[in-house]
Amino acid sequence: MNYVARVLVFSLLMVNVTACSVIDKISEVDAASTPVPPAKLYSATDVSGAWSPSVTGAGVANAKGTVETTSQTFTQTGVGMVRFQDPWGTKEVTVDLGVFNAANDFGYDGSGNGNGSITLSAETLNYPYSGGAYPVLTELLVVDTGTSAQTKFVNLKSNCASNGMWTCAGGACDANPSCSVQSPSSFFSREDWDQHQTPPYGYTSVNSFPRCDASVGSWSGCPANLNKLPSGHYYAKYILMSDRGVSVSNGSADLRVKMTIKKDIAARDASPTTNGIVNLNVVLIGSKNIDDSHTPKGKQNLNLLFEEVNRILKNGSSNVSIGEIKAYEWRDVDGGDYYSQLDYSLLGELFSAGSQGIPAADEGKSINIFMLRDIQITGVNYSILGLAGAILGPPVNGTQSSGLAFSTDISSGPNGVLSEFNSTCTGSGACLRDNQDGTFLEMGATIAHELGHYLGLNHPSEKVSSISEAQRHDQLSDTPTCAPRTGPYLDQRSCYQDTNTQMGGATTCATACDAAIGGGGHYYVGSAKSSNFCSAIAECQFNHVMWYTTKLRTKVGGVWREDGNQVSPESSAIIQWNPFVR
Amino acid sequence: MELKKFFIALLLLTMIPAQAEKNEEAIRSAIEHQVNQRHPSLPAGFWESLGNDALPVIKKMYTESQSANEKTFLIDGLAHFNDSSTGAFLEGEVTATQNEVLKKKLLSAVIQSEGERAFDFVEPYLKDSDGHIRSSVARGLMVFDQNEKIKKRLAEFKSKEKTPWVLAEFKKPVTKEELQKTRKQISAAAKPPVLEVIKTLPPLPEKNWAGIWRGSYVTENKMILVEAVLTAVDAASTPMKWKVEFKLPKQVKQEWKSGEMVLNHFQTNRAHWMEIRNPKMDIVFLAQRKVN
Repeated sequence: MNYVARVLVFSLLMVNVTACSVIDKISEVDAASTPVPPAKLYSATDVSGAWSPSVTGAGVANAKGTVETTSQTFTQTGVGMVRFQDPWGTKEVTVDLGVFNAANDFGYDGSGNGNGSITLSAETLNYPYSGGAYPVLTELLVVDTGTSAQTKFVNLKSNCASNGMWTCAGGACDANPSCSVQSPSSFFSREDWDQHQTPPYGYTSVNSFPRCDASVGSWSGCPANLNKLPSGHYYAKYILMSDRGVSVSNGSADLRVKMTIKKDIAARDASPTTNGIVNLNVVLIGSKNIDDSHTPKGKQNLNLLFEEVNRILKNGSSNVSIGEIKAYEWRDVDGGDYYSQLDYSLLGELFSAGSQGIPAADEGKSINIFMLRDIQITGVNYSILGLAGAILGPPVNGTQSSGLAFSTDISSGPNGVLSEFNSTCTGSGACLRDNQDGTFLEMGATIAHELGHYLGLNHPSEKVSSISEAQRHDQLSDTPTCAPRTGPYLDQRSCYQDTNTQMGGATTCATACDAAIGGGGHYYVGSAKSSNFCSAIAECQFNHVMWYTTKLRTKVGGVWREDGNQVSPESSAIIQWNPFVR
Repeated sequence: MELKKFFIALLLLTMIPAQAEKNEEAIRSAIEHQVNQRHPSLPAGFWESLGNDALPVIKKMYTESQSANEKTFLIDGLAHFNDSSTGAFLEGEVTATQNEVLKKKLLSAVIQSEGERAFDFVEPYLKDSDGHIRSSVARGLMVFDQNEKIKKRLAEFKSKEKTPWVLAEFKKPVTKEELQKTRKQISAAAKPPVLEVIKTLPPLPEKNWAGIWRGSYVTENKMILVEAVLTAVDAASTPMKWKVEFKLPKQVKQEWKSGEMVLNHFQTNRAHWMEIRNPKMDIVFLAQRKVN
């Protein structure tokens, strides 16, 4: 008998923490895993009356014109495996990624300007048991072909190999404290590294480099020599880490690594005309959403929804636009009915099936967005507004992380569906933002937020479940912290009341916010809610796009007042390395 | 003195509505915080921690809400109450809502709230045109298949259901989450603890007593609602020395100092209280800390 151990989905993705520290067994089955068949999707361009995206402000004209991406797949067969707690011994395998030139392949100029990157999406194939194995990147080594000098982007302590990554007892595993990253490393911590090796859905690890750039702002803890990708011979080392409870020493599987090289010759610019585009595949699931999208009102609402997403993505330092949107329909008869209202635990299945239905030519070039009616949570009646398949999603289709999902009916007003949002608008002509529903605008904010996760961003601060719980923040020095308070712990009010000065400056959130609104306190601070917002104030974490809850907004005199959706320069740098941004 | 006792009793009675309002605000705030999360996960025992006072608040919020997301949370909360009025409320909302996703969740909540008693109400929805509603009701009823009537109807459902995925879902064994869901957690007759946020009201050390206290100034023959300002005169002494200034009606000001008065601070789960007695004048001032 064996047991399947899985990373706790809630701790990693539902709450979107920077990493998880506990692995817990969830089943004791030994049945063979069945691959999910591809979904049959219909391109909206082939369907009469379907939604043809027309989003103001979006379009391929905003592309940087400096980006090229190429990909190559490496496969190693018969790779021995280890369990979470096993020392690696000789089970580590090396993938020779090839020789790269920093200028020709990544686009860096003589001064090191450019946004080139290397992204490694690794999967385990032909796994012989139930469950699966995580391909864990244990080293990314660059050897200078002239001097033989070595640069390690992943730099783990030797204890990881000799003692194992985790310590397990009673079917649950904790991070082995002796296994951590050491300086210099692209990963700031063990947690930071874990997050990219053990995703919440499926078993695809995604690692992208560079991960920080000390020349942006004052990116603390960022090793100067790991700012850019150097010229040299690149090697990636992996272990296949099985979630099986009993020994896997006699088992083997295949490792497949898809390498995506992004070449971008554009230097980072403080005020660029454009920072590029992100293309989207929007898949409408089930008859209800499809039928709604065929109505004038449904079409108008879908266009407005992505107009709002585009508005947020273009904010401040980000300045990324939506490029091309391709719409697809996943009909009831083809499984759309089943997937249209789905438990969150099955989203991996949806991402795998749905993304396989996308034309191969668009793989890695467009992010998949699945519009469900309801993402349910096991055992309760409430739902999830939206969710990303991973924090740093793979530029690969067919994996259990290959997309984002959103609940259309839950995001709406009480009776709303796609065709009924924004009741004051008619479905033709203009529908001003101030005439759009707050819940509708929030849906746009949620899509932008989850896209941020997919492009590699974490929450600036993670939710805590008690005031004494240790605080966890992202690794960026230009996003504010936010201290919890008694009661709901971490919310807009706790950020406002945080007495710390922010981002290395001399200003607290409250000081900066009050100065912007002329006193009177932020909306949520008094017992009687005010109409004061300071959306442009970066010192307040709730004004960042990756703030972990929904935004506060209220209408005053027919005009929306609300929290902001800031993107910090360091966040923008991470987005710029992503191969989807072009 | 009897009259004073009467006034104090009256004072406490008059404070009950204000307290209820405060509790409603705290309950709303606690729920709103959870609703605002994009990836929610309610802490274990969340609805239980709100206590019975939460029921009318949840119903009120549900009726007022213009957000489907918020309504799903409130449905989850209502499902934890098993009194007949909650069951009737949920049934009414099933009939009223046009949103099929909410209808599905409401039906699930009816089963959770009423248990086997829900059968007659939910049974027609086993024939609903929406597969997710049929599936949800069938799975909700599976927990009660020891009831012959329900068992028989579910067997019929199984034989007549034509949608493969609905049938496949129905054939899956009952999960522990589904069993948990139908376990009654809050009886409307019971009085579970009040909000966690209230229970954890932090202590107020003596050095922090300074400030405005709002309460009743009770003499032998009258009771006046006033505010008093408490100011430290000597913070170094033990106990500290204080003065209290009252602003009484008709602009009359009164000031007491340590030596003339006795200060007794105490706190309930819900508020900090100060009893200030002036034995010489036979006056009691009983007040709550003003929340700024």
